[in-house]
Amino acid sequence: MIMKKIATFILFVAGFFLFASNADAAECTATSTSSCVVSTSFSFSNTTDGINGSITISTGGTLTLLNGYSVGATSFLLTGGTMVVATGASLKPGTTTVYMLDADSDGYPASTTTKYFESAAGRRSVSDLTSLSTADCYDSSANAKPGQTTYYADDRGDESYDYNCDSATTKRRLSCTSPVCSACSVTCDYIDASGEGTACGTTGINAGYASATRNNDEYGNCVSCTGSGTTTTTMECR
Amino acid sequence: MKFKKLPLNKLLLSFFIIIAVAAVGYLGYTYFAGQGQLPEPVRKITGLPTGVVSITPTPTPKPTPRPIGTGKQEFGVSMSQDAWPKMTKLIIDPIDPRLLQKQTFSVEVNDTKPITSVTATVKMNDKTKSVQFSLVDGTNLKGRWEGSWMFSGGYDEYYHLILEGVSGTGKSSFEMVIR
Repeated sequence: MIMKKIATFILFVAGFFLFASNADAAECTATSTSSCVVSTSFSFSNTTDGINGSITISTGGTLTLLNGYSVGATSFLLTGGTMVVATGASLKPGTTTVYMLDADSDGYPASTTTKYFESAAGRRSVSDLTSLSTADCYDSSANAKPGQTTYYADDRGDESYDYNCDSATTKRRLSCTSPVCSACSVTCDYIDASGEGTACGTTGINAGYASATRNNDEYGNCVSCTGSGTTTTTMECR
Repeated sequence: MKFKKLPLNKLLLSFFIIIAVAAVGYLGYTYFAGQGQLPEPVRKITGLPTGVVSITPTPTPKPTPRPIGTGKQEFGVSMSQDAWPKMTKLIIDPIDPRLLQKQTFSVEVNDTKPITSVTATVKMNDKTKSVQFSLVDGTNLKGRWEGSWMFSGGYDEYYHLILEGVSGTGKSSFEMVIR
């Protein structure tokens, strides 16, 4: 009985280490940033490329390096596969960090095809980036980046308002045509104003006001909100 | 049988009543047949250009193929300890062939038992070609094997090379990603 329990325990521990080691071994891809395994056929996409960790070539895997390509990693381990390295290619074991240019530190590289093995101003470790495959559209403002959802009233620095990198300018502005008295202040809705001719950043646009009122108290609280009249707004863009 | 001659005004009135009944009947029929929809009025579209209108689809830009080098390329091959036969030095000449240009593969192979065959399989965009090698230098235990073919096929998107060696010990192979 005791032997059966010991055998079960040993199997459990062995299984844990087996699966734990497999969990660590992600397949190497073009966007790998940490230790990975080549178990099929793989070649890095960029002429200077690599990862922050080790590359293991396991049974059935082939890592190919063509002439003119440099790949950096902390180590290259050939445990069962094949490495094919061209004359003129270079393996750089001992590389602890691979960098990309991200001068505004918004997590998106200025170029997805250029990597470095040396640290310099504006360069960040690939493992600190949000994406290796989507480039930044303007690397001088951290607010301008792919997927940005915030709208801005000022241009990003180059007279463009394309903050979300979709190669278009989407406008919006406050509209008070149906104002609401919320949290004791007049709350207006944003409207999509993409079709309007008003330039981004323009202030003083009449946002309207068709009253809101409220005011209250004598224990209904709030006190004031009003509205009516007219108000102005700014054309925001992204 | 004799027909009584009707006055002209009664004749015209009868004619208009028949036309009106026919019109109401037609509208009623189309209304119910169209499930509550009155027939669409004929719309005249103006302002369209006349003559042949050609529609040009917007081409999807292809990504630039990654550089693979040019001409003769030499590779050092490191295989695992238990892979036999062992291939060591590979030459692809040229790596970037033009259509119908001769492409030659050369590989040094060794084993403790005789090597019986070496084959290359070139996988391209939409074509796969197998090339048989022959021993051109050395012995079937340690020698240089070579195979050629007249290149045909596109390789701007996909270009793999599979090398396979067979010997008395067994079989070994690897697949290079060139593009």
